[in-house]
Amino acid sequence: MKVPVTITVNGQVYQREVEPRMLLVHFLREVLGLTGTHVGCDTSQCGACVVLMDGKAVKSCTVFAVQADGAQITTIEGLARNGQLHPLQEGFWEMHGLQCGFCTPGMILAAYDLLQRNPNPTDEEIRHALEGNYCRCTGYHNIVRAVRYAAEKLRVQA
Amino acid sequence: MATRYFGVAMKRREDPRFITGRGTYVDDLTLPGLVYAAMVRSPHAHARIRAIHKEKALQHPGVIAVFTGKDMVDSGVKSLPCGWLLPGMKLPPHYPMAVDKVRHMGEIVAVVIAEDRYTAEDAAELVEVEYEPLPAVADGAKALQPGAPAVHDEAPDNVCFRWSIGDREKTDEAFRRAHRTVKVELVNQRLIPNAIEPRAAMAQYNPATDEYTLWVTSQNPHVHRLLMAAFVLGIPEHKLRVISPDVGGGFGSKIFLYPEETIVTWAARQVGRPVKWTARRRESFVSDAHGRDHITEAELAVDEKGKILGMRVKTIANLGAYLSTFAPAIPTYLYGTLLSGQYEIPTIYCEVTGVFTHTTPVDAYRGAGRPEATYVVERLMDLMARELGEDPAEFRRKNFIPPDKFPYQTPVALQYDSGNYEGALNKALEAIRYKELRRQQEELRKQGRYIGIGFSCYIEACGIAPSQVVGSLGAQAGLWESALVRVHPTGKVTVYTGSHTHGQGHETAFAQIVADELGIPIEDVEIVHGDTGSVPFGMGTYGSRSAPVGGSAIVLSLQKIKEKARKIAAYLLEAAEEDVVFEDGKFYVKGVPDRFKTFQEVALQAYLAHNYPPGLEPGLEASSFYDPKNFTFPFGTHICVVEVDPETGKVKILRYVAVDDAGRIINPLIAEGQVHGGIAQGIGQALLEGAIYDENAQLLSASLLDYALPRADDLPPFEIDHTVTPCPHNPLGVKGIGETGTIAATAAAVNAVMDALAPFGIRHIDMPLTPEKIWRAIQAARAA
Amino acid sequence: MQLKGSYRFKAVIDRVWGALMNPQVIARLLPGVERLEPVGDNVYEAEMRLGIGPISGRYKARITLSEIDPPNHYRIRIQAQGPQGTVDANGTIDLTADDGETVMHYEGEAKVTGLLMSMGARLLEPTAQMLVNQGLKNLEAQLASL
Repeated sequence: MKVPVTITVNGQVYQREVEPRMLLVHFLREVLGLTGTHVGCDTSQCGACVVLMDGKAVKSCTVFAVQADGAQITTIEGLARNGQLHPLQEGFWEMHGLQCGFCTPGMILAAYDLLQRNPNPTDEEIRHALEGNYCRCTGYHNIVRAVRYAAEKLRVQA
Repeated sequence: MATRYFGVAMKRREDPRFITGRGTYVDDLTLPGLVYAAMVRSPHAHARIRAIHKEKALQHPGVIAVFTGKDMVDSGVKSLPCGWLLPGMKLPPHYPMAVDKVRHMGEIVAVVIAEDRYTAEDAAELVEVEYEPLPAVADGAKALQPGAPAVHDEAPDNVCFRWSIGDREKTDEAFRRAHRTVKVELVNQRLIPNAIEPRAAMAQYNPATDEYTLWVTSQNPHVHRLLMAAFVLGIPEHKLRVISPDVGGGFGSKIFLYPEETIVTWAARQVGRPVKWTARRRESFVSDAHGRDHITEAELAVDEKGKILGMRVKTIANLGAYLSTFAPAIPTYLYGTLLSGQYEIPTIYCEVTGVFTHTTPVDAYRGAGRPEATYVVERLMDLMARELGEDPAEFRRKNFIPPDKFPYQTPVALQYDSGNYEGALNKALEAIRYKELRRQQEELRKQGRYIGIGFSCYIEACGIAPSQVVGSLGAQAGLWESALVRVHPTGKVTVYTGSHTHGQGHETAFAQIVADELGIPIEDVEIVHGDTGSVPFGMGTYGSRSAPVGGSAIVLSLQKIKEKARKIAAYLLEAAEEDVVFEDGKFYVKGVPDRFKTFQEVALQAYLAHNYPPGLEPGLEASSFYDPKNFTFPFGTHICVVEVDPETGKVKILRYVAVDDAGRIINPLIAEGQVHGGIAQGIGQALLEGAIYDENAQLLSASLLDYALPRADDLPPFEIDHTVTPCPHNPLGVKGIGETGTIAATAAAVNAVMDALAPFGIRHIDMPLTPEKIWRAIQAARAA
Repeated sequence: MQLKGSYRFKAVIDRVWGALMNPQVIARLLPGVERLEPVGDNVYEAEMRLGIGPISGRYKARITLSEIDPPNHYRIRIQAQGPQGTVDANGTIDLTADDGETVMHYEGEAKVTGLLMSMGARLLEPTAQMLVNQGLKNLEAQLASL
């Protein structure tokens, strides 16, 4: 009944056997214990579960673990490098882009996807790109500023 | 003492764990031998339970147990209590699982415990429940009609309570001699809170010590413990430890004692293994307490000069099928008492009927009663200004309570301690460039473009609350707050606060207070909350009380610490206690600042107790319980500018200006964040959100597919400013800021849309102001 | 939820009526029926698989026929219960002979509860209409092959 999968998460290769119906988000949270990726809804609306799959943002509540077989996954735990926060993480901290923190990992990774595609987004483009991610605390004002902060920092670095 | 932290926009100390995915929410926790609970919920809004067949579920591999309401009641489990009682109120029992009847869609009828969450959910579908469906009613007004199906035998007319405040005769008299009156019927629609973290609970029972531990998404773990232990499960309070770790937003919905955490705590003992339940979002929709749901008729009377003579309000408040923990307080004492707003109103009369319906229970949701009151007041102010042909800002200004009249006694019980309403209005008008904006509006109208400017001059009573006052109003507990400050021998400090942070940043803001008071680096301060095992009994976080009440409790403890430390320092400095000054973390003899003892040295001596004042106890810690003298009264003016597209009915928010007065601000970054989030939820209600029940009391807006939460591109950037009128009666001079945005924004946004639609003669549309409703109103107006 | 419509069969009324009263035919024409058996006079029990939008599951149904007036009219009530909610549908079927063919008018309403309603509400009517249309086409095909 169980199916073997090989999934690379944050650079580490994991080989596990999973039920075919197991969702990627449950694989990350319950099999690997990476609880930074959250589940906020049943219907792929909230975006709390966004991770990067082969570099692209996906809602991990809508992907089966078996579909991620062979894929590279980046979760929020894997975003900082050598103890250095990613500019997006820094931006959310600097600009008070989070309150309860529950939507934050998904929000950061959705913004990561945006900045890859569009390194210099306008506020409107940021808001549009994040419409698949709900935040109930911040009213998004500071999230937009956080993403702008990261975009500027990444451009300087590049 | 030099202020180093208070008032500084510090980055939050809690953020590093959240931005790296290392927050710890209840569902992140696990325990050896953990099993999972899935709830079997009623599809019917009202039905008799004929039988429940567990067999098939029990046979399913991996299933450990199935329990029903009868199993719980047979083992001695009692009804969930209600924490606020009104005279003559009907209080029907509310068991964690339905026993004989279900009274709202989503009510729990059984629980399945299984080895993993997938199996538990599979098996929940195998529990067969025989229902006899009965007629149901979801609408508060319809529930009051003769012949409406009764929710409880105890209340055959569905009336839970009838409550009133103010002087009816005097108010009627004011209306009789009025120059003009306006009247409006409005619906403050039901909202579903939707904290992004779904509620969750994990419970463990240890037979060796007879102790329970419950991890739960709670804004007030001690309240959870008290209610669950003493009233429902009959567990000795000291044998139940409740831990509320990181919590992903509450907005009121995580205050209440719910069936689910009660069930898992009880079940953990039954199955002898730790049990976890985490809500699916679809469960949140039917089981988290909803908010608002008022049907109101409101009237305002003025004299020839446009000065207000009186206000009359009649409200039907839908309470849902059962009384949630604070349900009766919300549409009464948190609503009727706020109807004076910022205005001098000689007389007010308000009547509220609390009604049972076959819907999810309704309780506090961000603002809780005060947004409903503000909406009534501010809609009336706009309608009257329009009726009189006066500018809405000037009509408000004319009726403000002037600054020299504080403390001001309203005709609806509250005594406002302070206020400068014109100050906030002027600042907001300036920020929005009001006159120019009105000119633009005029010009654009000529081009067929419809701009609207909406005001909300709000007041809020928060920082709940003086225990004696709320006790006399029906609260079953005092609403003080606790703080234990423990200074360690090295001078590091741990603060145990009864407040709970679920996004509000207490770990930063409270540490700022402590570091300043003790003159120590903020890194030396740790804030602990959310664990009944370590924190003294506390009332928790709601009603914007953490800073004014929880923060004040910390200040009281710090004062005690400083008093004792001064005694030790005086002894060490061989000086009289009254000659010792404490400044910047140093004790020195007045006039001789070079001879000093640091706070850390004193702390060490408190524990070594070698060189020590005779008769003084060793150690350096203090606990306090702060009971506020009054509510705090934040106020402000919010102005919303919208453009309505007359062809589609779509509303675009062009600008949003908020000028709030929350007294002294501990951390502007956090305070602004609170305002932003509040405004977002207020605009959400005005334009997007709303629970929809069909005629069979089925919730149709039961997922995020159908319930419209504000998204990033629904909202504008916010322009935030403050005035500062310190609260005169608490040691920090602070007021609550967590709910102001929600209280103000709804009225501001609706007034803006109505202003935009004024050329069509449209006077009122009920929320949410969806494009369809606006379009229909425009079509009807054009046809007329 | 309300459903109403008509359909023209290229068959004489007695054949249509006969088919509509035959449990085996009904079992085949309702989509998703896995079992259907009589449990009394004009009362049947069925198990069916139903899906509306994201919500699918196995439902136990009780089908009761009444007001039987051959070959023109009967009333049908379908009470179904499943893990995701319940359906209580009540309607009438009227047949009229017309030039060697048969015109059917159907009319009914259904009360739906639970997740079926709360998550599927917007899909309910189109799905129900689709199921009816599919059933009628199946019946047409069966009549042709009988």
